Amino acid sequence: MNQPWGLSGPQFLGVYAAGLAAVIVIALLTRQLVRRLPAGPGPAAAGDLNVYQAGFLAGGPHRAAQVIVAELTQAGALRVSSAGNVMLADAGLAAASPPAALYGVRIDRLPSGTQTKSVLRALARDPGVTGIGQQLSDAGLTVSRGRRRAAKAITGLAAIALFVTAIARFAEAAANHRPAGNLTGLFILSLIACLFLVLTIAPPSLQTPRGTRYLRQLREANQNAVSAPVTAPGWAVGAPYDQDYPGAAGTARFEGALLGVALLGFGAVADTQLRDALLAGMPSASSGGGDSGGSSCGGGCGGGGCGG
Amino acid sequence: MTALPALGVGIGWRPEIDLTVPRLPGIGFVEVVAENVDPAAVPGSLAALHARGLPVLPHGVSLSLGGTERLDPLRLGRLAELAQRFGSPLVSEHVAFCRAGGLEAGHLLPVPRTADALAVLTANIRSAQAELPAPLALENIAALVSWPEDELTEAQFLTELVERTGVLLLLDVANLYAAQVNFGTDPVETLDRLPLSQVGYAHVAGGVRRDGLWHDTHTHPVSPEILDLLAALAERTALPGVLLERDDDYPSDAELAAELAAIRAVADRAAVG
Repeated sequence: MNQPWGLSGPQFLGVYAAGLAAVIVIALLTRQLVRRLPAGPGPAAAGDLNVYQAGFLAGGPHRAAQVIVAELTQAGALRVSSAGNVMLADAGLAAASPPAALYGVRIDRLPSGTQTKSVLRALARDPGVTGIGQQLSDAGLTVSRGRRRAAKAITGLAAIALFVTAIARFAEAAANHRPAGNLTGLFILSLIACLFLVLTIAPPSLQTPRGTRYLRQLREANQNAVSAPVTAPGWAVGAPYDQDYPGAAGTARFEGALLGVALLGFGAVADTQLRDALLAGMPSASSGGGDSGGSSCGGGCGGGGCGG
Repeated sequence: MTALPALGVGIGWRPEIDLTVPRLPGIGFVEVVAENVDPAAVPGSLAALHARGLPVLPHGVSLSLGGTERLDPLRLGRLAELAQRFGSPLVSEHVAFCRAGGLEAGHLLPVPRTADALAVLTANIRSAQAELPAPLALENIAALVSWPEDELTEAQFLTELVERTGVLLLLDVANLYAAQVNFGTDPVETLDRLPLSQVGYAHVAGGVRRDGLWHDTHTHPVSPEILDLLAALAERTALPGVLLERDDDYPSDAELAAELAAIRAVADRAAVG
């Protein structure tokens, strides 16, 4: 019996699987290539970056957003409930906070009363936060946007080439009434794998070798700061409420506390109650949206006041 | 009558500020809206507060003690279970009704201050007292309308209830202020005519004047007029406790702490003076 393209069904599946492996190899090689292309001048030593930049370098815009949320919560500008709902508590404090002053992050436009994950998502898209990525790229610590796009494009083209062979085989099978069930399964698998590759191969925080070295030095230089149970004054149990904004630039104690969040995420927040609350509103948490507020007769206060 | 428990200054526990409450300085007790807390699944942050020794007072908003229908055993049972769960020194509800003829108002509505309404309330209060493991305190509400059938003043009505049932009073001074704005009632005269030795604790809350009416919103700062009324109350009796009600538009922790400090200062100054 004639085999299309000289390949039996199982043989084609083997070739297709090899093609999928080739796409993965091409993606990884491209990733390494864009990481290692010459980049601009970098920072001189660990410590040259602030906590937002360090967070972005370690975990992308989402991590930088975690630093901001942790900072503003500790400072009292944001309030988080144990159910993981975040709300704006002090607009003035938020407007004067370092993320707003340094990067123009619009804290006042964050969704209020929603879960941590929604706030992080909004912050990660804030031009102020995405601008941090540009700074890191300009400093040669992360791969530039253009190079990341190129890596994605190359991976995508390799994937498309793979898909075209599968589609051609499907067409041949349909024309000659051949079964293509196994190929369909492998095709779907390859679609999912390639989509995942394209989406993850070059994230905004893709580090250059210099960025990786810098991050390693930063971790080594600040091991004590990262592991120390530092709690910002505004959040400390029984703390006075009349202190100046504790996150003011240059407050080493505060920077140390936030560096843990920058390098490790919310898991590094020293205050266990605050940490649990922040994590409760994250995607991995199973907790719901929390209880509803108080209301007269259980039906809401309406427009005329509560009366109780 | 046994001595009422000394509660100090407290705040309404709400899920949105559940981590703020334990960090506010000098909180002596909290009040929970009974309808929003399941006795069998108490939120961890509230359970932790109670475990720290803070009194937790269930505050019902839907028992409809002023209604002519039989008290809902489920609502009454929940109030009792919460009081049991927390070992509460007091349980509170309102001098109001919120359902009739199968309709839910969604609001606390004023009862007509008549002999008939007194009889209904007296019967319902006695039924509730029989089921509750802690003394019941009743709160005067902030009404936007009054009944043309009213025969008694608010002070006369509340006094009569106290005398008939021995119920305690949860005196909301913000609601006295609402009565002043909305109906022209003199709040100080009301204070002078009430059996103040029966006050279990007091409420203060912020509101707003709109179209000539005072709306007890619980979302605004406490105004100086309301603090003045608190002072007037504290000058007349030793207040066991004062609670700040705040239900939304929560200010910063610092502002909440400052508001509580102001309440404490007013109550203390008046008590000393």
